[in-house]
Amino acid sequence: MSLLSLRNVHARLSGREVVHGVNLEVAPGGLVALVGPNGAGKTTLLKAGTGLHPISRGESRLSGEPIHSVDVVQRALKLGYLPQERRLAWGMAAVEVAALGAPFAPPSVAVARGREALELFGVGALADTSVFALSGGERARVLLARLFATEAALLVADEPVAGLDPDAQLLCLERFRAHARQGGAVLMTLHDLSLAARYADRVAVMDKGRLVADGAPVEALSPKVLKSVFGLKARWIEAESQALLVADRA
Amino acid sequence: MTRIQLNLLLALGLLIASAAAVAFGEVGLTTAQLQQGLNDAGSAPGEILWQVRAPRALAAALTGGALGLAGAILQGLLRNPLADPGVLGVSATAAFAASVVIVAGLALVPGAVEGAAWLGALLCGGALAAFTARVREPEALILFGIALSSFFGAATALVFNLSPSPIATAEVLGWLMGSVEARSWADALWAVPALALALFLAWKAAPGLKMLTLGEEVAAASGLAMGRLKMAAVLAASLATGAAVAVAGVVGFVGLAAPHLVRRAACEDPARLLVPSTLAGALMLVLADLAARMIPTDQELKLGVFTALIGAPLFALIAWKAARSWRT
Repeated sequence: MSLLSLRNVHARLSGREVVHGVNLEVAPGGLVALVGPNGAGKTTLLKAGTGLHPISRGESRLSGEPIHSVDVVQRALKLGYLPQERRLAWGMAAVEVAALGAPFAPPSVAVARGREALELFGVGALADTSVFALSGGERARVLLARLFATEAALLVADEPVAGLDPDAQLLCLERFRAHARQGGAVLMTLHDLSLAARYADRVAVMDKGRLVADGAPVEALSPKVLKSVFGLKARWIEAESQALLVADRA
Repeated sequence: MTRIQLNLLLALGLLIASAAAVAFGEVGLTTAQLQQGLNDAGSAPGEILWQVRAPRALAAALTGGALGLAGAILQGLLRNPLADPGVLGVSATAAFAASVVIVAGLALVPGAVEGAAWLGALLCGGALAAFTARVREPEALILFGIALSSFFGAATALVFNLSPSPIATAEVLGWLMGSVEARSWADALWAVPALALALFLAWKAAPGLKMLTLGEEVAAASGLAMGRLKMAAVLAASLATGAAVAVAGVVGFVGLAAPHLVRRAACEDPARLLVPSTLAGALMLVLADLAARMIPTDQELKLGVFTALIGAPLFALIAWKAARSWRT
Protein backbone atom coordinates (compact mmCIF):
# COMPACT_ATOMS: atom_id res chain seq x y z
CA MET A 1 0.00 0.00 0.00
CA SER A 2 1.23 3.50 -0.83
CA LEU A 3 2.19 5.70 2.09
CA LEU A 4 0.81 8.69 0.20
CA SER A 5 -1.67 8.51 -2.60
CA LEU A 6 -2.88 11.60 -4.45
CA ARG A 7 -5.92 10.98 -6.63
CA ASN A 8 -7.11 13.55 -9.11
CA VAL A 9 -6.05 16.36 -6.76
CA HIS A 10 -7.16 19.88 -7.66
CA ALA A 11 -6.15 22.86 -5.51
CA ARG A 12 -6.72 26.60 -5.66
CA LEU A 13 -4.56 29.51 -4.54
CA SER A 14 -6.25 32.90 -4.02
CA GLY A 15 -9.24 31.75 -6.04
CA ARG A 16 -7.17 30.48 -9.01
CA GLU A 17 -6.80 26.76 -9.65
CA VAL A 18 -3.08 26.01 -9.66
CA VAL A 19 -3.14 22.21 -9.40
CA HIS A 20 -5.23 20.37 -11.98
CA GLY A 21 -6.08 16.72 -11.34
CA VAL A 22 -2.74 15.31 -10.19
CA ASN A 23 -2.33 11.58 -9.48
CA LEU A 24 0.80 10.54 -7.59
CA GLU A 25 1.76 7.51 -5.50
CA VAL A 26 4.57 7.37 -2.95
CA ALA A 27 5.23 3.78 -1.89
CA PRO A 28 7.45 2.53 0.95
CA GLY A 29 11.08 2.47 -0.18
CA GLY A 30 10.47 5.26 -2.69
CA LEU A 31 12.45 8.45 -3.10
CA VAL A 32 10.31 10.64 -5.35
CA ALA A 33 11.52 13.98 -6.69
CA LEU A 34 8.90 16.47 -7.84
CA VAL A 35 10.40 18.90 -10.34
CA GLY A 36 9.04 21.69 -12.47
CA PRO A 37 9.56 25.35 -13.28
CA ASN A 38 8.69 28.16 -10.86
CA GLY A 39 4.91 28.48 -10.49
CA ALA A 40 4.25 24.93 -11.66
CA GLY A 41 2.24 24.19 -8.48
CA LYS A 42 4.74 21.92 -6.72
CA THR A 43 4.52 23.56 -3.29
CA THR A 44 0.72 23.81 -3.42
CA LEU A 45 0.56 20.13 -4.38
CA LEU A 46 2.79 19.14 -1.44
CA LYS A 47 0.69 21.20 0.96
CA ALA A 48 -2.58 19.86 -0.44
CA GLY A 49 -1.25 16.31 -0.30
CA THR A 50 -0.19 16.67 3.33
CA GLY A 51 -3.47 18.24 4.46
CA LEU A 52 -2.04 21.73 4.94
CA HIS A 53 -3.95 23.26 2.03
CA PRO A 54 -7.54 22.58 0.99
CA ILE A 55 -8.13 20.16 -1.87
CA SER A 56 -10.90 21.56 -4.04
CA ARG A 57 -11.49 18.22 -5.83
CA GLY A 58 -10.00 14.74 -5.57
CA GLU A 59 -8.39 13.29 -2.46
CA SER A 60 -5.16 12.54 -0.65
CA ARG A 61 -4.75 9.30 1.28
CA LEU A 62 -2.19 8.62 3.97
CA SER A 63 -1.55 4.88 4.36
CA GLY A 64 -4.90 4.26 2.67
CA GLU A 65 -6.98 6.63 4.81
CA PRO A 66 -8.31 9.97 3.59
CA ILE A 67 -5.81 12.45 5.04
CA HIS A 68 -8.43 14.72 6.60
CA SER A 69 -9.96 11.85 8.55
CA VAL A 70 -6.61 10.80 10.03
CA ASP A 71 -6.22 11.96 13.63
CA VAL A 72 -3.73 14.87 13.70
CA VAL A 73 -1.41 13.08 16.12
CA GLN A 74 -1.39 9.92 14.00
CA ARG A 75 -0.80 12.05 10.92
CA ALA A 76 2.20 13.73 12.55
CA LEU A 77 3.61 10.37 13.62
CA LYS A 78 3.35 9.04 10.06
CA LEU A 79 4.26 12.16 8.08
CA GLY A 80 7.06 14.67 8.64
CA TYR A 81 6.94 17.95 6.73
CA LEU A 82 9.70 20.43 5.88
CA PRO A 83 8.36 23.67 4.38
CA GLN A 84 10.17 25.95 1.96
CA GLU A 85 9.95 28.82 4.48
CA ARG A 86 12.97 28.62 6.80
CA ARG A 87 12.45 31.64 9.05
CA LEU A 88 12.70 30.93 12.76
CA ALA A 89 10.99 33.25 15.20
CA TRP A 90 13.30 32.82 18.19
CA GLY A 91 16.96 31.97 18.68
CA MET A 92 16.58 28.74 20.61
CA ALA A 93 19.47 26.27 20.79
CA ALA A 94 19.81 24.07 17.70
CA VAL A 95 19.07 20.94 19.71
CA GLU A 96 15.84 22.47 21.09
CA VAL A 97 14.74 23.24 17.52
CA ALA A 98 15.59 19.74 16.31
CA ALA A 99 13.77 18.25 19.33
CA LEU A 100 10.56 19.96 18.18
CA GLY A 101 10.32 17.07 15.72
CA ALA A 102 9.22 14.88 18.61
CA PRO A 103 6.58 16.90 20.51
CA PHE A 104 4.89 13.81 21.96
CA ALA A 105 8.04 12.18 23.29
CA PRO A 106 9.20 12.84 26.87
CA PRO A 107 11.51 15.92 26.85
CA SER A 108 14.70 13.93 27.46
CA VAL A 109 13.85 11.51 24.63
CA ALA A 110 13.00 14.41 22.29
CA VAL A 111 16.33 16.09 23.03
CA ALA A 112 18.20 12.81 22.48
CA ARG A 113 16.44 12.36 19.14
CA GLY A 114 17.21 15.96 18.21
CA ARG A 115 20.89 15.51 19.09
CA GLU A 116 21.12 12.28 17.09
CA ALA A 117 19.49 13.93 14.07
CA LEU A 118 21.89 16.90 14.27
CA GLU A 119 24.78 14.41 14.15
CA LEU A 120 23.24 12.87 11.02
CA PHE A 121 23.50 16.23 9.28
CA GLY A 122 26.97 17.07 10.53
CA VAL A 123 25.95 19.82 12.95
CA GLY A 124 26.12 17.87 16.21
CA ALA A 125 28.86 20.18 17.50
CA LEU A 126 26.46 23.14 17.17
CA ALA A 127 23.72 21.52 19.27
CA ASP A 128 23.88 24.09 22.05
CA THR A 129 24.35 27.12 19.81
CA SER A 130 21.50 29.56 19.23
CA VAL A 131 20.06 29.13 15.73
CA PHE A 132 20.41 32.91 15.28
CA ALA A 133 24.17 32.47 15.58
CA LEU A 134 24.25 29.92 12.74
CA SER A 135 24.74 30.51 9.03
CA GLY A 136 21.81 30.00 6.66
CA GLY A 137 23.18 26.62 5.57
CA GLU A 138 23.70 25.47 9.16
CA ARG A 139 20.15 26.51 10.02
CA ALA A 140 18.88 24.55 7.02
CA ARG A 141 20.70 21.47 8.37
CA VAL A 142 19.13 22.00 11.81
CA LEU A 143 15.69 22.09 10.18
CA LEU A 144 16.48 18.90 8.26
CA ALA A 145 17.47 17.37 11.60
CA ARG A 146 14.07 18.47 12.99
CA LEU A 147 12.42 16.64 10.07
CA PHE A 148 14.37 13.45 10.79
CA ALA A 149 13.66 13.71 14.53
CA THR A 150 9.99 13.14 13.71
CA GLU A 151 10.96 9.52 12.89
CA ALA A 152 7.94 9.52 10.55
CA ALA A 153 7.88 6.92 7.80
CA LEU A 154 6.96 9.44 5.13
CA LEU A 155 9.08 12.58 4.82
CA VAL A 156 7.75 15.39 2.64
CA ALA A 157 10.29 18.13 1.97
CA ASP A 158 9.92 21.31 -0.04
CA GLU A 159 13.29 22.32 -1.49
CA PRO A 160 15.33 20.43 1.14
CA VAL A 161 18.70 21.27 -0.42
CA ALA A 162 18.04 25.01 -0.85
CA GLY A 163 20.80 27.03 0.83
CA LEU A 164 23.08 24.03 1.38
CA ASP A 165 26.65 23.81 0.11
CA PRO A 166 27.40 21.03 -2.42
CA ASP A 167 28.69 18.61 0.20
CA ALA A 168 25.64 19.18 2.41
CA GLN A 169 23.32 18.75 -0.58
CA LEU A 170 24.79 15.33 -1.27
CA LEU A 171 24.71 14.44 2.44
CA CYS A 172 21.04 15.45 2.62
CA LEU A 173 20.07 13.35 -0.38
CA GLU A 174 22.09 10.40 0.91
CA ARG A 175 20.19 10.63 4.21
CA PHE A 176 16.91 10.66 2.31
CA ARG A 177 18.00 7.65 0.24
CA ALA A 178 19.00 5.77 3.40
CA HIS A 179 15.61 6.61 4.96
CA ALA A 180 13.85 5.17 1.90
CA ARG A 181 16.08 2.07 1.88
CA GLN A 182 15.08 1.43 5.50
CA GLY A 183 11.42 1.15 4.49
CA GLY A 184 10.41 4.79 4.70
CA ALA A 185 9.56 7.06 1.79
CA VAL A 186 10.42 10.58 0.69
CA LEU A 187 8.58 13.05 -1.50
CA MET A 188 10.64 16.17 -2.19
CA THR A 189 10.68 19.07 -4.57
CA LEU A 190 14.00 19.84 -6.24
CA HIS A 191 15.18 22.43 -8.70
CA ASP A 192 18.48 20.73 -9.46
CA LEU A 193 17.58 18.24 -12.21
CA SER A 194 21.00 16.55 -12.05
CA LEU A 195 20.51 15.78 -8.37
CA ALA A 196 16.97 14.58 -9.03
CA ALA A 197 18.26 12.34 -11.82
CA ARG A 198 21.05 10.96 -9.66
CA TYR A 199 19.27 10.32 -6.37
CA ALA A 200 15.56 9.83 -7.00
CA ASP A 201 14.01 6.46 -7.78
CA ARG A 202 11.23 8.26 -9.50
CA VAL A 203 10.82 11.75 -10.88
CA ALA A 204 7.46 13.48 -11.31
CA VAL A 205 7.52 16.49 -13.60
CA MET A 206 4.93 19.24 -13.09
CA ASP A 207 4.11 21.99 -15.52
CA LYS A 208 1.31 24.55 -15.22
CA GLY A 209 -0.38 22.58 -12.45
CA ARG A 210 -0.38 19.23 -14.26
CA LEU A 211 1.80 16.16 -13.97
CA VAL A 212 3.36 15.77 -17.41
CA ALA A 213 5.73 12.90 -16.66
CA ASP A 214 6.13 10.36 -13.86
CA GLY A 215 8.63 7.51 -13.92
CA ALA A 216 12.24 6.51 -13.64
CA PRO A 217 14.57 9.53 -14.01
CA VAL A 218 15.77 8.51 -17.47
CA GLU A 219 12.16 8.32 -18.72
CA ALA A 220 10.62 11.26 -16.87
CA LEU A 221 13.52 13.61 -17.59
CA SER A 222 13.66 12.77 -21.29
CA PRO A 223 15.07 15.41 -23.66
CA LYS A 224 11.57 15.89 -25.06
CA VAL A 225 10.00 16.59 -21.64
CA LEU A 226 12.82 18.89 -20.60
CA LYS A 227 12.53 20.82 -23.84
CA SER A 228 8.77 21.32 -23.53
CA VAL A 229 8.66 22.02 -19.77
CA PHE A 230 11.89 23.91 -19.10
CA GLY A 231 12.91 24.93 -22.61
CA LEU A 232 16.23 23.10 -22.05
CA LYS A 233 18.36 21.19 -24.50
CA ALA A 234 19.29 18.08 -22.53
CA ARG A 235 20.96 14.74 -23.03
CA TRP A 236 21.89 11.76 -20.92
CA ILE A 237 25.52 10.63 -20.86
CA GLU A 238 27.23 7.60 -19.34
CA ALA A 239 30.09 8.30 -16.95
CA GLU A 240 31.62 5.89 -14.47
CA SER A 241 28.71 3.52 -15.12
CA GLN A 242 26.17 6.16 -14.10
CA ALA A 243 23.62 7.89 -16.34
CA LEU A 244 24.12 11.63 -15.92
CA LEU A 245 21.89 14.42 -17.17
CA VAL A 246 23.52 17.32 -18.97
CA ALA A 247 21.36 20.31 -19.83
CA ASP A 248 21.91 23.60 -21.64
CA ARG A 249 19.66 26.51 -22.47
CA ALA A 250 18.00 25.83 -25.79
CA MET B 1 21.10 29.26 34.46
CA THR B 2 18.37 26.61 34.84
CA ARG B 3 14.69 27.44 34.64
CA ILE B 4 14.26 26.97 38.40
CA GLN B 5 17.29 29.13 39.24
CA LEU B 6 15.98 31.92 37.01
CA ASN B 7 12.52 31.82 38.56
CA LEU B 8 13.94 31.72 42.10
CA LEU B 9 16.21 34.68 41.35
CA LEU B 10 13.32 36.74 39.98
CA ALA B 11 11.06 35.73 42.88
CA LEU B 12 13.77 36.80 45.32
CA GLY B 13 14.14 40.13 43.50
CA LEU B 14 10.37 40.62 43.65
CA LEU B 15 10.36 39.86 47.36
CA ILE B 16 13.12 42.39 48.04
CA ALA B 17 11.47 45.03 45.82
CA SER B 18 8.12 44.45 47.57
CA ALA B 19 9.76 44.79 50.97
CA ALA B 20 11.33 48.06 49.81
CA ALA B 21 7.96 49.24 48.46
CA VAL B 22 6.42 48.63 51.88
CA ALA B 23 9.33 50.15 53.83
CA PHE B 24 9.81 53.33 51.79
CA GLY B 25 7.38 56.01 50.74
CA GLU B 26 6.45 59.66 50.95
CA VAL B 27 6.16 59.43 54.72
CA GLY B 28 9.60 58.57 56.08
CA LEU B 29 9.48 55.96 58.85
CA THR B 30 12.28 55.36 61.33
CA THR B 31 13.49 51.83 62.06
CA ALA B 32 11.60 51.91 65.35
CA GLN B 33 8.40 52.98 63.59
CA LEU B 34 8.87 50.26 60.99
CA GLN B 35 9.26 47.71 63.77
CA GLN B 36 6.18 49.06 65.49
CA GLY B 37 4.24 48.93 62.23
CA LEU B 38 5.29 45.36 61.56
CA ASN B 39 4.35 44.24 65.07
CA ASP B 40 1.14 46.24 65.47
CA ALA B 41 -1.00 46.61 62.35
CA GLY B 42 -3.39 48.91 64.24
CA SER B 43 -0.74 51.53 65.06
CA ALA B 44 -0.23 54.63 62.89
CA PRO B 45 2.89 53.19 61.18
CA GLY B 46 1.04 49.86 60.90
CA GLU B 47 -1.82 51.56 59.06
CA ILE B 48 0.69 53.04 56.58
CA LEU B 49 2.47 49.73 56.05
CA TRP B 50 -0.51 47.37 55.90
CA GLN B 51 -3.39 49.49 54.64
CA VAL B 52 -1.58 51.82 52.22
CA ARG B 53 1.77 50.52 51.02
CA ALA B 54 1.36 46.72 51.11
CA PRO B 55 -1.89 46.54 49.10
CA ARG B 56 -0.45 49.09 46.70
CA ALA B 57 2.68 46.98 46.21
CA LEU B 58 0.52 43.90 45.74
CA ALA B 59 -1.60 45.73 43.15
CA ALA B 60 1.56 46.79 41.29
CA ALA B 61 2.98 43.25 41.41
CA LEU B 62 -0.25 41.65 40.17
CA THR B 63 -0.70 44.25 37.42
CA GLY B 64 2.91 43.95 36.27
CA GLY B 65 2.78 40.15 36.47
CA ALA B 66 -0.41 40.03 34.40
CA LEU B 67 1.05 42.36 31.76
CA GLY B 68 4.37 40.46 31.68
CA LEU B 69 2.48 37.20 31.16
CA ALA B 70 0.22 38.68 28.46
CA GLY B 71 3.24 40.11 26.63
CA ALA B 72 5.11 36.79 26.67
CA ILE B 73 2.05 34.93 25.39
CA LEU B 74 1.36 37.41 22.59
CA GLN B 75 4.95 37.63 21.41
CA GLY B 76 5.08 33.82 21.19
CA LEU B 77 1.67 33.54 19.56
CA LEU B 78 2.30 36.25 16.98
CA ARG B 79 5.99 35.30 16.52
CA ASN B 80 6.71 38.96 16.92
CA PRO B 81 9.11 40.57 19.42
CA LEU B 82 7.21 43.87 19.20
CA ALA B 83 3.82 42.49 20.27
CA ASP B 84 2.34 43.61 23.59
CA PRO B 85 -1.09 43.51 25.26
CA GLY B 86 -2.07 46.76 23.57
CA VAL B 87 -1.60 45.30 20.11
CA LEU B 88 -4.73 43.16 20.10
CA GLY B 89 -7.02 45.88 21.42
CA VAL B 90 -7.76 44.21 24.77
CA SER B 91 -6.44 47.18 26.80
CA ALA B 92 -8.37 49.65 24.62
CA THR B 93 -11.63 47.70 24.93
CA ALA B 94 -11.27 47.33 28.71
CA ALA B 95 -10.42 51.02 29.07
CA PHE B 96 -13.44 52.01 26.99
CA ALA B 97 -15.80 49.90 29.13
CA ALA B 98 -14.35 51.41 32.33
CA SER B 99 -14.65 54.93 30.89
CA VAL B 100 -18.35 54.44 30.11
CA VAL B 101 -19.02 53.33 33.69
CA ILE B 102 -17.11 56.30 35.13
CA VAL B 103 -18.89 58.83 32.91
CA ALA B 104 -22.24 57.21 33.76
CA GLY B 105 -21.55 58.17 37.38
CA LEU B 106 -21.15 54.58 38.61
CA ALA B 107 -17.51 54.91 39.70
CA LEU B 108 -18.46 54.80 43.37
CA VAL B 109 -20.42 51.54 43.02
CA PRO B 110 -18.04 48.89 44.41
CA GLY B 111 -16.55 46.79 41.64
CA ALA B 112 -18.39 48.61 38.83
CA VAL B 113 -15.30 50.04 37.09
CA GLU B 114 -13.29 46.85 37.60
CA GLY B 115 -16.20 44.70 36.44
CA ALA B 116 -16.66 46.83 33.33
CA ALA B 117 -12.95 46.61 32.49
CA TRP B 118 -13.17 42.86 32.90
CA LEU B 119 -16.24 42.57 30.75
CA GLY B 120 -14.62 44.69 28.03
CA ALA B 121 -11.46 42.58 28.09
CA LEU B 122 -13.39 39.33 28.00
CA LEU B 123 -15.63 40.44 25.15
CA CYS B 124 -12.56 41.48 23.18
CA GLY B 125 -10.84 38.19 24.10
CA GLY B 126 -13.92 36.27 22.92
CA ALA B 127 -13.93 38.12 19.59
CA LEU B 128 -10.21 37.46 19.16
CA ALA B 129 -10.61 33.78 20.07
CA ALA B 130 -13.43 33.42 17.53
CA PHE B 131 -11.26 35.12 14.92
CA THR B 132 -8.29 32.87 15.79
CA ALA B 133 -10.46 29.79 15.23
CA ARG B 134 -11.12 30.88 11.63
CA VAL B 135 -7.82 32.43 10.55
CA ARG B 136 -4.35 30.89 10.77
CA GLU B 137 -2.07 33.79 9.84
CA PRO B 138 -0.76 35.85 12.79
CA GLU B 139 -0.68 38.97 10.59
CA ALA B 140 -4.47 38.74 10.19
CA LEU B 141 -4.90 38.55 13.97
CA ILE B 142 -2.64 41.58 14.44
CA LEU B 143 -4.65 43.57 11.88
CA PHE B 144 -7.94 42.55 13.53
CA GLY B 145 -6.49 43.59 16.91
CA ILE B 146 -5.29 46.93 15.54
CA ALA B 147 -8.78 47.53 14.14
CA LEU B 148 -10.32 46.79 17.57
CA SER B 149 -7.74 48.95 19.30
CA SER B 150 -8.33 51.90 16.96
CA PHE B 151 -12.10 51.59 17.18
CA PHE B 152 -12.24 51.46 20.98
CA GLY B 153 -9.59 54.19 21.24
CA ALA B 154 -11.87 56.39 19.15
CA ALA B 155 -14.90 55.29 21.19
CA THR B 156 -13.09 56.31 24.40
CA ALA B 157 -12.33 59.70 22.83
CA LEU B 158 -16.04 59.96 22.05
CA VAL B 159 -16.83 59.27 25.71
CA PHE B 160 -14.57 62.23 26.59
CA ASN B 161 -16.22 64.30 23.92
CA LEU B 162 -19.74 63.63 25.19
CA SER B 163 -18.93 63.57 28.90
CA PRO B 164 -21.32 65.95 30.71
CA SER B 165 -19.04 66.54 33.68
CA PRO B 166 -15.42 67.75 33.82
CA ILE B 167 -14.98 65.74 37.04
CA ALA B 168 -15.96 62.52 35.27
CA THR B 169 -13.65 63.46 32.39
CA ALA B 170 -10.76 63.93 34.83
CA GLU B 171 -11.55 60.58 36.45
CA VAL B 172 -11.49 58.83 33.08
CA LEU B 173 -8.22 60.54 32.24
CA GLY B 174 -6.76 59.38 35.56
CA TRP B 175 -7.86 55.84 34.78
CA LEU B 176 -6.35 55.95 31.33
CA MET B 177 -3.00 57.13 32.70
CA GLY B 178 -2.78 54.04 34.92
CA SER B 179 -2.10 54.03 38.65
CA VAL B 180 -2.14 51.81 41.71
CA GLU B 181 -2.51 54.76 44.07
CA ALA B 182 -4.89 54.20 46.99
CA ARG B 183 -5.63 50.58 46.05
CA SER B 184 -7.03 48.43 48.86
CA TRP B 185 -6.48 44.72 49.44
CA ALA B 186 -9.89 44.09 47.87
CA ASP B 187 -8.96 46.14 44.78
CA ALA B 188 -5.72 44.20 44.33
CA LEU B 189 -7.25 40.78 44.93
CA TRP B 190 -9.57 41.29 41.93
CA ALA B 191 -6.66 40.20 39.76
CA VAL B 192 -5.74 36.98 41.56
CA PRO B 193 -8.30 34.52 40.10
CA ALA B 194 -7.89 35.95 36.60
CA LEU B 195 -4.11 35.77 36.77
CA ALA B 196 -4.27 32.21 38.12
CA LEU B 197 -6.61 31.15 35.29
CA ALA B 198 -4.47 32.97 32.73
CA LEU B 199 -1.35 31.16 34.00
CA PHE B 200 -3.17 27.84 33.75
CA LEU B 201 -4.31 28.51 30.17
CA ALA B 202 -0.83 29.76 29.24
CA TRP B 203 0.68 26.57 30.66
CA LYS B 204 -1.72 24.53 28.48
CA ALA B 205 -0.85 26.66 25.42
CA ALA B 206 2.94 26.57 26.02
CA PRO B 207 3.78 23.62 23.69
CA GLY B 208 1.94 25.39 20.88
CA LEU B 209 3.81 28.65 21.49
CA LYS B 210 7.11 26.75 21.33
CA MET B 211 6.14 24.93 18.13
CA LEU B 212 5.15 28.22 16.48
CA THR B 213 8.87 29.11 16.49
CA LEU B 214 9.04 26.99 13.33
CA GLY B 215 6.13 28.77 11.66
CA GLU B 216 2.44 28.18 11.12
CA GLU B 217 2.82 25.32 8.62
CA VAL B 218 5.14 23.17 10.70
CA ALA B 219 2.98 23.85 13.76
CA ALA B 220 -0.11 22.79 11.81
CA ALA B 221 1.63 19.56 10.73
CA SER B 222 3.13 18.86 14.17
CA GLY B 223 0.13 16.95 15.51
CA LEU B 224 -0.51 19.50 18.26
CA ALA B 225 -4.10 20.79 18.41
CA MET B 226 -2.95 24.24 17.32
CA GLY B 227 -6.43 25.74 16.98
CA ARG B 228 -7.26 24.91 20.60
CA LEU B 229 -3.83 25.93 21.88
CA LYS B 230 -3.94 29.28 20.09
CA MET B 231 -7.41 29.96 21.43
CA ALA B 232 -6.19 29.17 24.96
CA ALA B 233 -3.29 31.58 24.42
CA VAL B 234 -5.58 34.39 23.24
CA LEU B 235 -7.95 33.87 26.18
CA ALA B 236 -5.04 33.76 28.64
CA ALA B 237 -3.61 37.02 27.28
CA SER B 238 -7.06 38.67 27.36
CA LEU B 239 -7.75 37.52 30.93
CA ALA B 240 -4.37 38.75 32.13
CA THR B 241 -4.70 42.11 30.37
CA GLY B 242 -8.26 42.53 31.66
CA ALA B 243 -7.04 41.83 35.18
CA ALA B 244 -4.28 44.43 34.84
CA VAL B 245 -6.63 47.11 33.47
CA ALA B 246 -9.24 46.33 36.14
CA VAL B 247 -6.70 46.91 38.92
CA ALA B 248 -4.62 49.77 37.56
CA GLY B 249 -6.08 51.19 34.36
CA VAL B 250 -3.92 51.35 31.26
CA VAL B 251 -0.22 50.75 31.95
CA GLY B 252 1.91 50.54 28.85
CA PHE B 253 5.26 48.99 27.92
CA VAL B 254 5.52 46.45 30.77
CA GLY B 255 3.99 43.79 28.53
CA LEU B 256 6.45 44.64 25.79
CA ALA B 257 9.57 44.97 27.90
CA ALA B 258 9.21 42.19 30.51
CA PRO B 259 9.59 39.26 28.05
CA HIS B 260 12.67 40.90 26.52
CA LEU B 261 14.35 41.35 29.89
CA VAL B 262 14.33 37.59 30.52
CA ARG B 263 14.25 36.16 27.00
CA ARG B 264 17.94 35.32 26.81
CA ALA B 265 18.01 33.86 30.32
CA ALA B 266 15.03 31.69 29.30
CA CYS B 267 17.04 30.40 26.30
CA GLU B 268 14.69 32.22 23.89
CA ASP B 269 12.13 29.47 24.47
CA PRO B 270 8.60 30.98 24.32
CA ALA B 271 7.26 28.26 26.63
CA ARG B 272 10.03 28.63 29.19
CA LEU B 273 9.58 32.42 29.10
CA LEU B 274 6.05 32.54 30.55
CA VAL B 275 6.77 32.38 34.28
CA PRO B 276 9.98 34.49 34.23
CA SER B 277 8.19 37.15 32.19
CA THR B 278 5.35 37.20 34.74
CA LEU B 279 7.83 37.63 37.58
CA ALA B 280 9.86 40.23 35.66
CA GLY B 281 6.71 42.24 34.91
CA ALA B 282 5.75 42.16 38.59
CA LEU B 283 9.26 43.21 39.62
CA MET B 284 9.35 46.03 37.06
CA LEU B 285 6.04 47.51 38.13
CA VAL B 286 6.74 47.30 41.86
CA LEU B 287 10.03 49.15 41.26
CA ALA B 288 8.40 51.64 38.87
CA ASP B 289 5.67 52.40 41.40
CA LEU B 290 8.24 52.82 44.16
CA ALA B 291 10.19 55.22 41.93
CA ALA B 292 7.01 57.11 40.99
CA ARG B 293 6.27 57.57 44.71
CA MET B 294 9.80 58.53 45.68
CA ILE B 295 10.50 61.07 42.93
CA PRO B 296 9.71 64.42 44.55
CA THR B 297 7.00 66.14 42.48
CA ASP B 298 4.02 68.32 43.45
CA GLN B 299 1.64 65.70 42.18
CA GLU B 300 2.51 62.01 42.27
CA LEU B 301 3.62 60.66 38.90
CA LYS B 302 1.05 58.38 37.30
CA LEU B 303 2.39 54.85 36.93
CA GLY B 304 1.31 54.54 33.28
CA VAL B 305 3.07 57.79 32.44
CA PHE B 306 6.22 56.72 34.25
CA THR B 307 6.39 53.28 32.57
CA ALA B 308 5.74 54.88 29.16
CA LEU B 309 8.56 57.39 29.70
CA ILE B 310 10.96 54.58 30.58
CA GLY B 311 9.44 52.13 28.11
CA ALA B 312 9.49 54.25 24.96
CA PRO B 313 13.29 54.41 24.67
CA LEU B 314 13.42 50.70 25.49
CA PHE B 315 10.91 50.04 22.70
CA ALA B 316 13.13 51.96 20.27
CA LEU B 317 16.13 49.90 21.37
CA ILE B 318 14.20 46.64 20.91
CA ALA B 319 12.98 47.72 17.47
CA TRP B 320 16.52 48.62 16.46
CA LYS B 321 17.90 45.28 17.67
CA ALA B 322 15.04 43.37 16.02
CA ALA B 323 15.61 45.19 12.73
CA ARG B 324 19.28 44.21 12.95
CA SER B 325 18.42 40.52 13.41
CA TRP B 326 15.97 40.67 10.46
CA ARG B 327 18.77 41.96 8.27
CA THR B 328 21.04 38.97 9.05
